[in-house]
Amino acid sequence: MNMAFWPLALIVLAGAVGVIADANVFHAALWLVFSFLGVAGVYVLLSAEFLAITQVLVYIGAISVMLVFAVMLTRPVIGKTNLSSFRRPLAAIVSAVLSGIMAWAEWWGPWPAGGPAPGDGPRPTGLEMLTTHLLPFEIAGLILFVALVGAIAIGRGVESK
Amino acid sequence: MTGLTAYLWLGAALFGLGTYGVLAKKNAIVALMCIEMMLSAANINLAAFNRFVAQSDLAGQVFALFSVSVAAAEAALGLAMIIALSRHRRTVELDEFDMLKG
Repeated sequence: MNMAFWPLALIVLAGAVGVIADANVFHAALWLVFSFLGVAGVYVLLSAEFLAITQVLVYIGAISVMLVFAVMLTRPVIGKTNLSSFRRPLAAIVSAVLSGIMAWAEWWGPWPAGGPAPGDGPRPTGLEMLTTHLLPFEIAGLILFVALVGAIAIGRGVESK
Repeated sequence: MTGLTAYLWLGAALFGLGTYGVLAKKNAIVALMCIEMMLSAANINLAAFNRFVAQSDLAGQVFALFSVSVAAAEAALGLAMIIALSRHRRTVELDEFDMLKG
């Protein structure tokens, strides 16, 4: 068990709590970036370097910028904007039960201890993606293209004549 | 506690926090952030299972990569819809979006 796991887990969970608990939506977006950075570190520990780099590029580089833009375009960013609805107790019960069931199920089960880390970097991941999983790769590109065209069409709105 | 259990518990905790945010938050953008958190939890589980259970091939990591790209598409579409709705209704509160209610 790598000792670097515990500070990284703390970063991930602290960021997630910050997203929920911070009173300002803009600060919640920054907490989300903090949490994503921890997730990238966890990927490095799992010797998924390519996934970690993708996490930094896509989530921290692109999605968080998009979220910050959306926050600024939709609301005034100062003051208490990150409110909770009256369903808070019910939401807490549902999420606690879900997480509890998952943690309980994951505690049992004879998990293998896992061998030593492979440590040959991102090269095998890229080869796997572009040989065995080439068709899903192309379909993912098509999905991204269609989604971005759709996002532009929806976000631009309908001109009234 | 084996290494895998710790990673899976991290995923479960992150998923639970995301679920709470999606259900309890009023702001649609924060709900979208919490959905991204839940997807990250699933990706942590995929990478952990790839590392500890099925190390011979890298299908778990590749699956997580596809999940990241689909999450990017989902975030782009979700934010476009939120911006269009906020222009239309002057709010981003999820409880206000009840136009489809009969």
